[in-house]
Amino acid sequence: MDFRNNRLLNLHWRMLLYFLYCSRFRIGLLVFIELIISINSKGDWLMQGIVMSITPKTVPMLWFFIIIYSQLMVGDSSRKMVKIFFPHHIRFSLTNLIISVFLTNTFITCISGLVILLKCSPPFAIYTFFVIWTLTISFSLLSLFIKPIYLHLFSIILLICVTYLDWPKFLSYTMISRFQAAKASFNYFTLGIILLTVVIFTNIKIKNFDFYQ
Amino acid sequence: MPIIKLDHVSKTIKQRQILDDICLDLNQQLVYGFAGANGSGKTMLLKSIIGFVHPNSGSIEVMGQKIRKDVLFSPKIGFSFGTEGLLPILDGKTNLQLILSAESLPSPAKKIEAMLELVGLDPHDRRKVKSYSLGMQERLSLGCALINDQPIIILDEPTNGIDKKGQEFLVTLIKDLKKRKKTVLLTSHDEKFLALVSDQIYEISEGRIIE
Repeated sequence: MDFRNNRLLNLHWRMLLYFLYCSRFRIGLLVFIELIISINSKGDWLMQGIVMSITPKTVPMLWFFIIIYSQLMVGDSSRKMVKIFFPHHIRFSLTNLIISVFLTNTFITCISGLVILLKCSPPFAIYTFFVIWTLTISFSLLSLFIKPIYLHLFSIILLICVTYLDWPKFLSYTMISRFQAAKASFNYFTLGIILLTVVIFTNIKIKNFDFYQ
Repeated sequence: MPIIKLDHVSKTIKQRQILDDICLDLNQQLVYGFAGANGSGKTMLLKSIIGFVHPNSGSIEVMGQKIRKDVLFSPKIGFSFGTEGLLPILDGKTNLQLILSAESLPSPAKKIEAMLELVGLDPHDRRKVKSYSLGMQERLSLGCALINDQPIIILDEPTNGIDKKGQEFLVTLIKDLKKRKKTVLLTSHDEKFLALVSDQIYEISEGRIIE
């Protein structure tokens, strides 16, 4: 199969390149690399979060940054891709464009996931990868209908709740100090429900969507 | 039977009436011009016909298909909205390649090169679109509208950024499209240009059609 003549593959590849070319992504990647190089060599410290027996005084910033990094990198790019790029290339189905969004989001999430995997145990790293992936995809799809700034604010409030209230549990487990491998499997189910809900919501709302700048 | 039919189409955005109860029957193989001040609703009308904008009420039918009901967007329309939709980090050829639908053609590359030459661009120019002048981007956008040889062509402000020679080229092109039995819808602030190319002109003001 000639890649150049396969428009679908070409589309997905172009979308990824378009995203990588975005200055926000390149700057964010540099910041991320700089941060990771500067941290302690002990892997557990990376996602330690708060120590359970002590009342947290501040949100653990490194954990916070790693969880929210992918969303910050996505920003409004999904919104632009669907609202502006898609209508001008309408021979591709909307499903294929959403797949492109999934692929670029997965790529970004892999950056965080790889770092966590290098520094932390595989069960924890895999679980955290899926949490970040679900949050990033949900952010991308919801940003079609809700301004990204409001979604960022919601994410920040959620992470603060996780720090001080230990809720929601599926997010709380992204801190090593709170992670329980045995109970994590139930949270995978929760992640699946969240993703399915967002995808169904998108399918319903997209029919009344306005595709313009 | 009209090729495009708008039946009591209205659209409100942030409590502002953009389109107000528009009823329009457009017949095939004619050139329709839409004139009006900035913000009158010309572009929104064209985008509604394609399906980019979902009307709050009314229905739009293009070649027998109800837009947003039978299809999300009409597949029968080639369109140009200035520089919107062009990918600035790609060259002109790749932009057209992403739009070209007939991948079963034995040599799509030749078709793309021919289209670039038709609109006055160099097929061997590897520069990214972001380094094009406004006029060049408009020409590329025109190529995007024409590449798939669709029966309906929509051009929004095609005279933007175009010099006198470019305007002459546009006039010739639109007349050629009419000879090839295309239906053309276009907007412009240049009433002389519209009068030169259009079979019928509609004036739009505050979202309403004034014939």
